Amino acid sequence: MLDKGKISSLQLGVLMYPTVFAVGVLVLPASAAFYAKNDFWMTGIFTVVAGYAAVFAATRLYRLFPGMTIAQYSERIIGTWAGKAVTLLFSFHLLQITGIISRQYAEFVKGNFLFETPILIIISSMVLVAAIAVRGGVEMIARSAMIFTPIFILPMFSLLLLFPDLHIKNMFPVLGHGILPVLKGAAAPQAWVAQLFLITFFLPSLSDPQKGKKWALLSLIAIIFSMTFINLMTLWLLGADTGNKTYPVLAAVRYISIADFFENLEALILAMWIVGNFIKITVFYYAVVLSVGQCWKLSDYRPIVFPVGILVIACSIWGFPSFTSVGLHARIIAPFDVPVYQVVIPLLLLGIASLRRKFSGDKEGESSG
Amino acid sequence: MNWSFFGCVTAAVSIIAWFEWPRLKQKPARDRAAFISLLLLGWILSMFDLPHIPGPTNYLQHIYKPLSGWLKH
Repeated sequence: MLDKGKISSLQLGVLMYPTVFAVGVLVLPASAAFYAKNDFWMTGIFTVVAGYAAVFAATRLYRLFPGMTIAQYSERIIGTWAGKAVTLLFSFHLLQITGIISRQYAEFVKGNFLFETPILIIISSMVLVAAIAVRGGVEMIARSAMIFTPIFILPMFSLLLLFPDLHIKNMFPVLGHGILPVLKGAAAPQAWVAQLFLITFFLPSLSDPQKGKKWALLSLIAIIFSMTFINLMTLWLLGADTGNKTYPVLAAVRYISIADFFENLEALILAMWIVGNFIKITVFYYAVVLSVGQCWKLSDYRPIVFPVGILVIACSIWGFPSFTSVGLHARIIAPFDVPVYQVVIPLLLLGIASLRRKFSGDKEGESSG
Repeated sequence: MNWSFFGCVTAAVSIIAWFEWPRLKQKPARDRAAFISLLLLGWILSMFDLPHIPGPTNYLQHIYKPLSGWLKH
């Protein structure tokens, strides 16, 4: 294990919440409503399968291989070279996702607030700050999450101020088009929730690993609850129009005007977006650095943090001439690509490891790494 | 080739190397090799006009084409 810091499982749960939800909090209603029309509020609930599978795989594999992350136990399970190949694929996938997240973060900031700023400046400044956090280690990441996650959550409550303007009948008829559109609407969120598997990089740093699963699942429940809340609020406010806006939650918050005094609350949304994405990018960045470092058996991951940062920035623009192309990736590729790495591969590894243990009968997998 | 982007990346690479190398001298050769190869990779990538050349996303679009149809409509 390259990082000797220790964090609590509570901190893990707290840092996974914005990791999964930072992008979703703004785009979820639009992408879900695009498919599910007025039933899109249910999409959050259907992500529970992917989320539970990811947490289950990560914690079970950790129980079989204590002290190890996927980069380390994959070599134990399928052999050194196949394991390294899987880890390299995994690292590259994570690197690409980190780049895309950085781009999505920057596009929102540029498109709604900093219109003239070059996108690379917005991306690079965030990646730089994230790099400093990653270099500071897992304890720094967890502690900054303890401060930033409440700042991330609080502005969501401002949506309650819309209570007088909500039209509950927007949600009827329920399931008028059947369940399939709801499942399509759940395709993107289940990819985000599957990223709970990233706890595999933090479990070895837990001071109380036996509570890791509990807090990861609590995080999942909080995420699903928040998704449903955001969806209901935008549905009750904007109705069928939700699918036409890129950032419905921003539109909803702009709508808030209490006594001509409480206005322009969209600044809160920007703050929420920045701190949430900071945690998200940092966690993914840490996962990339750790998996590369463990694959190549480096003595310390810190020197490679900044070089990886340049690669993250490169991946945020490589192959993406415009925001539409990023949005397309998020809509039609990520729902398949992400669960392959965060659910399918881990479950396969778990299956192989369990079968090997059963047939060999000895304790080959239990020595700590 | 975007010279300003390449110039910025070259400056960044130089600063990173200047900052990290003293500490790396005491680490195993493997760490130094990883550092140099990652830095070099980033530097070489910056020479291309990245937004307009096919990237990992295009490759993935190709792989997931049969499945994507379900979500495209």
